[in-house]
Amino acid sequence: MSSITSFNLPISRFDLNLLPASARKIGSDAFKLAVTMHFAAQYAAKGQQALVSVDDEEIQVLTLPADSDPLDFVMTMLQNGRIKEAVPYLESMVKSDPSNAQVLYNLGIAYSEMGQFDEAVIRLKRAVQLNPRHAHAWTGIGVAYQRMGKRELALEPMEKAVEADPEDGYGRRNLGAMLMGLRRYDEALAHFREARRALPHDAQTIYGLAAALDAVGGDDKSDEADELHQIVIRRWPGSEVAELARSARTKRAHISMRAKVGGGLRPDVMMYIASALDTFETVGPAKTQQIAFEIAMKGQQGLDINDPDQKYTLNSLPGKYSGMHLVSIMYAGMKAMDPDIETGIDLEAEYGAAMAMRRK
Amino acid sequence: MKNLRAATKGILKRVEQKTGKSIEFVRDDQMSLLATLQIARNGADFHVLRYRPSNEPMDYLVAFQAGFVLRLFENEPSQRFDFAPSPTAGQYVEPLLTTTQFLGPADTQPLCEFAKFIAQWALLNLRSLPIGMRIDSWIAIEYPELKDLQLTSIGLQQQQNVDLLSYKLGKLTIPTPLMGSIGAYALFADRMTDAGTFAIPYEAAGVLSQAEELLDIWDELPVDADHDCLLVDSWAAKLGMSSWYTWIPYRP
Repeated sequence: MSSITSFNLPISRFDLNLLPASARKIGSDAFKLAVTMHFAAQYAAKGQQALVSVDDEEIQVLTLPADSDPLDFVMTMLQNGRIKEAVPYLESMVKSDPSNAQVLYNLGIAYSEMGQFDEAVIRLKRAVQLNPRHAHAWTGIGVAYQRMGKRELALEPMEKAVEADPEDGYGRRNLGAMLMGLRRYDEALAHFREARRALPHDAQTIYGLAAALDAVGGDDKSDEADELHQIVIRRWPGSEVAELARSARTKRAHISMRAKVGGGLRPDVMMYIASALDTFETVGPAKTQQIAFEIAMKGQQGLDINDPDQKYTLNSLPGKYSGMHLVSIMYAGMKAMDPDIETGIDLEAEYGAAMAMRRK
Repeated sequence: MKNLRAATKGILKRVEQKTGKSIEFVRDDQMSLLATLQIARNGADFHVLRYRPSNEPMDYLVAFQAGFVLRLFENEPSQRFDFAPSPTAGQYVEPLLTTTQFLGPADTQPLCEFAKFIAQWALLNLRSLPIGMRIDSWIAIEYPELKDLQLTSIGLQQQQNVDLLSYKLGKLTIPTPLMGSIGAYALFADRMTDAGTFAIPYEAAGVLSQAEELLDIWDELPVDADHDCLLVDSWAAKLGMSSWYTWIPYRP
């Protein structure tokens, strides 16, 4: 390194004698412009460029080689999470090149990331005014409105983003999510399918597609959704989206289980629970807890509760069990330890019936 | 220390020949500076160069520190002096802080400590910058193989110095009249590197004319080590720091 890359100078330190007399009123636009021009000229004379930002307290100067694109430097700041630091430079770049849609886009996104959504929307709208094909800027407007809680205003820019670039998977995914929120499931599904084509390995897209398929409904779509949920759980274990997929699968299994008995009580489950309660009485609370937790851990890897022929074994309890049987044992164990516990599956009716049967 | 360049080893050899004692390297992970050199005194067998491990090659820093020893020992024993900062130098800084800055009640509490800190910083600059610039010139001329490391080090030092323009504790900032020495060093760095941009921030801060005067003094005085004390004294007079320190005879 043989040059200074950046420095800050408090306004109070700046030598006003370096400026024209008409530009010496601190804080005035003339002052800010004159300070910017001063540094730009000084560094230009030495074959460098200076990005200058002047606020009410401080002057910030970023220097870079004459042949480099200032936006590249600022992009590096943004990518490193130095968003607040990058904003004054982006503002400075907008002042010197107000027709640069890419700079306006980055400034808008930076404001959005900082939670200053009004500022973000102003810059992003200016960007799409200059370049209506800027899909990411349209998406940025939609996201900003959404984060402001103005969902009714978010849809149009999201649609514009897809119009501007139909091949952009993120635009499709965002619009799909927006339409899901508006319960326009068929349209959402179409956009999520396009998004998956563009982003075949994006967890959010796959999960969104599964959610849309579930929402539209029907056996085929439900099966396809379940396959997608399994993909998410397998490829991104431990992620938030995998947890959502796992919950969706549990819900589906529950619906499927109830559907088999027309929504009524399942005698097999009732018997499993009754038997488990007998076992727990014999083995005591510590062993009960061990058994229930082992099943819960197994459930994290996936238990098929709709296939009675699929059998599982436990370390803590001898025998071979179907998925439904294990879930019933786990439910009974959890409820035995804490009657108010949330187990993730509703076997309350069967549990009540089993308890009543045992009391007789 | 392993992996030093031949040029650096040559400089260390010169220190041994000149002082009759070699340099022992001591790794110190807690140091704030990258390297310091303690001259052997009171019968010690070695000079001690403490260094903080870093990714940067140490050669230039070692050479630079060795330069101070060589310059001290180039003087006749009767003409060797230690720089002794006044323990009350902070009192000279307080008026600079209170007359040039509008301070609130919250700023007066740390005023005394801040003044002491700034006094130490200014005295360190006074002692090390003008003589350090002589050493930099010497390295550039006699050891061009260290030039790449020298340029890197100068650049890093300039970045650290320019950051001081915005350094503050509450509303307390470093008084502009004490910035002259680092401004002069920036002008010198521009001369050494052909960058031409190091002094731009100091011009904007209104420090440049004082910095130019200091560099003029540096240019006008003879470069030999006999004049090092005079060089420091002349800078001190220009900076208004003459009473902030004394010279005491060097005791081996």
